[in-house]
Amino acid sequence: MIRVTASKRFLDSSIWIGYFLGNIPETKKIVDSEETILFTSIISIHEIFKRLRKLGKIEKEIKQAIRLIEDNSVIVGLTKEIAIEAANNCEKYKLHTIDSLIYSSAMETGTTFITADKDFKETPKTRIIDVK
Amino acid sequence: MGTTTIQIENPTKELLNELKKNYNSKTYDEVIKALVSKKTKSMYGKLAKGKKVSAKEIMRDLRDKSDRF
Repeated sequence: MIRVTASKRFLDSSIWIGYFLGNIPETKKIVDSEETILFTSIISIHEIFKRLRKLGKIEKEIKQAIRLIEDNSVIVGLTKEIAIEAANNCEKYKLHTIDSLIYSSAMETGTTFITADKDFKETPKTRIIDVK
Repeated sequence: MGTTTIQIENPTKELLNELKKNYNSKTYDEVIKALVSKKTKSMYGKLAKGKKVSAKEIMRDLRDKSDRF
């Protein structure tokens, strides 16, 4: 089915991890929605893999999780444009390098950035999901 | 990542152009990926077994917040 009215969302690593662990209920609606085109930074693949392994999840489970991300979202790699914009955004919004690279990737793809990280409270086109 | 050339009929290209506009996408690649991406079975909470970890704990140290320079 062609989804002409789909909205675009760029998910931070925290959202994906919250989804797989089931501890951020709002992520279910976001990820499982068929009306949304999802985007994920290649950096998040690294962070999610590392975090899930640290939590003691087995390699097979982690690979299934990464596979779901690949199957359900567009993986965004780094480009020169993103790298330069990230340098600007570091200064503009007082972001650390990795935060800025991921946020700038989201802006480059014209999406809304969804995160659970309060360090993005100053950035435009960002939705922070409050976690407990 | 390498690129390749594919042949499509003109009406298909028009459809892709329309979707590209609607998705506010910069490339056909992005539109095609969005169209063909499989919506696999939900994995919400599928890795929850074992030690319970709060979302706040997950956030802690998830990302290296120090800069090299």
